[in-house]
Amino acid sequence: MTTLPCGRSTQDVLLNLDEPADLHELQCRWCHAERQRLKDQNGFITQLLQTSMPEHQSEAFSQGILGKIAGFVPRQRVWDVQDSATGQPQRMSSLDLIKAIRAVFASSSTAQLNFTEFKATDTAIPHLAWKAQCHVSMAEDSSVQVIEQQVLDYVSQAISPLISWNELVVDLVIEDLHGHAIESITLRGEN
Amino acid sequence: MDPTRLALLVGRSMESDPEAFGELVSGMTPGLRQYCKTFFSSWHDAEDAAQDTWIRAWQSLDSLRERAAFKTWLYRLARNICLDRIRQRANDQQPVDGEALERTPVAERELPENIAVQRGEIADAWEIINSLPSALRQTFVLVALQEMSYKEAALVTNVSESTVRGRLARARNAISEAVS
Repeated sequence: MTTLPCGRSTQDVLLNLDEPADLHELQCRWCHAERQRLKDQNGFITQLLQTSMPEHQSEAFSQGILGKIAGFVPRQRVWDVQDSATGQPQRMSSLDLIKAIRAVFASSSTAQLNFTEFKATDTAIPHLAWKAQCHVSMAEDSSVQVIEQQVLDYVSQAISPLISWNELVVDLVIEDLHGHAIESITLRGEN
Repeated sequence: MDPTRLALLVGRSMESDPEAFGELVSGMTPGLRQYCKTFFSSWHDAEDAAQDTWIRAWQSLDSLRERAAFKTWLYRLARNICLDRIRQRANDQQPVDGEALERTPVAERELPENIAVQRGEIADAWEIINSLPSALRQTFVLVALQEMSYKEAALVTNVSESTVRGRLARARNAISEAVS
């Protein structure tokens, strides 16, 4: 471990290398130079390591994983529903309903659907009361008031051609860019 | 991968959408593989561990409480899988002490296929990293290469942020001395 002429050591500089320089470092030419030397050296090694990974067959690797997970039992629940076109009972997975919701959201320029869950809330067969949880990021030029009405409409538009429903509750969670929840609102619709 | 895209892909994967999961695998495997490499001497072992991690991730997505923390969740999973594999191998030969494991450098002997791809400075760089104790190596890769915050690296490696800071400084010091 090198001790600098000012009394500080390389270790002292290293401990705060990712932080802004403190007052001493700002005024001390030895610490300043040591910080620069360590940053340059660290940057050089990091760059070497980043560019030295053996070739990775990304497509083949992903396909291999997808092939393996295809054999697993789907996690989604299957529900007894009433076909809205024929009135006949049938079974439908949450994933089919979620896909329909996603298809409607795909045309939105104000909201991105990050995650949704869809489930029945009644005990009747077929189910007629449903709840959707929608986690949404909104465009900067939009507002919660606009989004909340849109989301209820989107979910309703998505499921109505597929299933009959009497009651629809949407738990809307507005998220930031990273997926952290900012605000939650419960919306209700009746058919 | 930009955070908005990541939030979307993680959400869709949790909805059991394999296409979205495939995109996550493609986008995040290079970094994950690099982290797994900190536990093994061969890239082949690192790739196997990364594969196991993705399969376990798909099976365990329901247990992910905070989608925004997906990356740290995934790397913790990878760490556990790597440590299990090392313990398993060690147990086949002799009992292993977990703390001693953290202090262990990667074996100097490299497999021929790895030696073939490592040349000159690049080989030197990896040799320096491999000579670090495992805990320092992991911390360096998470913060310096994967650009995780100290907090995220602490969550992955199951230690405090101040420990991460200390380990990173020691790793950088060892690298600096090896390079000088």
